[in-house]
Amino acid sequence: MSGFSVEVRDLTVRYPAWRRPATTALDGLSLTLEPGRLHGLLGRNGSGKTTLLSVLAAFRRPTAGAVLVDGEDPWENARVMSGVCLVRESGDVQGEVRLRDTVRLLEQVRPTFDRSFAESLMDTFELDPRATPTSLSRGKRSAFGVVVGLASRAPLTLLDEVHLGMDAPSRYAFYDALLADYVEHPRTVVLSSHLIDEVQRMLEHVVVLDRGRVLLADDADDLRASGTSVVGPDTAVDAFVAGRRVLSRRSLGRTVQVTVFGRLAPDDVAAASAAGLELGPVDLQDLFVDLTAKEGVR
Amino acid sequence: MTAATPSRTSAAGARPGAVVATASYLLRTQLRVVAWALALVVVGLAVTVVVLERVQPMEVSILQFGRQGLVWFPFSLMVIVATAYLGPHVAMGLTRRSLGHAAILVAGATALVLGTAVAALMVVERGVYGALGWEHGIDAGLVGLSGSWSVPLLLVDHVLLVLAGQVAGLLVGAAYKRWHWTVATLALPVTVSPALVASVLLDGELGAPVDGSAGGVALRVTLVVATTLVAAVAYLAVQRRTAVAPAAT
Repeated sequence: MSGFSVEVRDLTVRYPAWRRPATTALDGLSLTLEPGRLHGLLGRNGSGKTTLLSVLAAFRRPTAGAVLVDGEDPWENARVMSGVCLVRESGDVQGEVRLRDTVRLLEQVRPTFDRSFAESLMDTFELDPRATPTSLSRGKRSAFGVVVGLASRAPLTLLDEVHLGMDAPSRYAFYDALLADYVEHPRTVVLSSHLIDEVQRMLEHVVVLDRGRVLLADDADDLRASGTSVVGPDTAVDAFVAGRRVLSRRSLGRTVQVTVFGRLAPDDVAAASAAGLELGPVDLQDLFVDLTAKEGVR
Repeated sequence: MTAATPSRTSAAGARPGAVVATASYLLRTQLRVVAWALALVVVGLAVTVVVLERVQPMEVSILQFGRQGLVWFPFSLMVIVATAYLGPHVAMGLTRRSLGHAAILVAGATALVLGTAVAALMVVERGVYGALGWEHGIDAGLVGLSGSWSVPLLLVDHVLLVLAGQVAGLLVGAAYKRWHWTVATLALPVTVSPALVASVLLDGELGAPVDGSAGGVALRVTLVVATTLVAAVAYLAVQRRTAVAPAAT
């Protein structure tokens, strides 16, 4: 299988004391990302997603803990760093350099960069090669970030909120291009996005971060199957969900809708039906919102 | 450990190393700016000579008054390299080490080009002064200190001035990138010292043993080279541990 593996053990990242306030962005986080899969990295604002991706790409050193990318520490490791591409929402290209010159430079320095693919993507996103990033709109700058991230074909490709500012057609063009190229050139991709509804169908594996730690890491299909919506009269619902892990509860009069976490056995399904309860799937976005709610019922 | 996605070479052929690719890119950018600056200097010098030729003869070199420009203009170029270029460089999958080595190579190359160009301009200026019957007095720099016209001394003086300014720029930029601005500002007397040391040692009257004698000049040059080398090593050490924060959007 192609692509870099990622192994993180007890990773802690603290921002310096002169930052107001001093922050622990990652707190003893441990994680394994298998190579050659499309991973989703989800988490609320401030959960540590960008910090984690920055450490994997050797943008930042850990305060404590171990990080192995393709079996080695990525920090100042020329082999590993050349195989990792992190595209952040802020963009990490020179603002006053023409897009075509950045593409030319990337072709020289990145071993797997495909210039013709980059040019084709720039056509797709209607990017003028003579333009500079500072002259582009927010969405177009993001689109160029996507071009860089996809055309680099790095064995570990990290895309951190790259959709920011992109309109819906551009976002869907990005998803199509990502999937098509991922199938043709398998590699490890980590996609961090708040638009869970849009990306969830692409994801093979999902990691949910919360307050600097891994809340959950599972195959996307298994995760989706782990949430169940239970709707019905309040007394019947309460009786059914007793002893189960309840993520959220919403009521409208005497009708209650509860999200439970954990697979239901066939007997449970039969019992729910007998009690006149309605069971339904919970999509990844709703599951994520409920799992990371501050005042959640756990 | 797993197999990486197979590498491919560019259509142009074998891929250059990271240091070479970075250095050639940075050098092209720097020399473009330097060329414009030199063009402005030449135009300014020509206009000044033409005007003065009608007003009164000169007795001293006009170019020598631009010495500080030779330090602080290249200094500012390298501050930009150390600050603005670090993020994009690392984002391209390249190490900080390769940027550091490339930046120092570029500093050396730019110093050679710019220092030589200005020294050559001074030779041309001397020729023009001679043709106009003017005295070409030089009381600045190593030539001024030694009291005798010497093209090799002129070259060494100008190249070292530019190099010291560039390396100081790298170190100052790296310090601001690495640490909080208050710490980097407190460290300025140290980080900017190569430029200050070069400005003083390659110009000022300091008395024995760093006087204008051959030995004194050699000692000055040695001290400037040593300070610049130490600053270059310090720059590499500071930059090597610098985090790349997200740029403001």
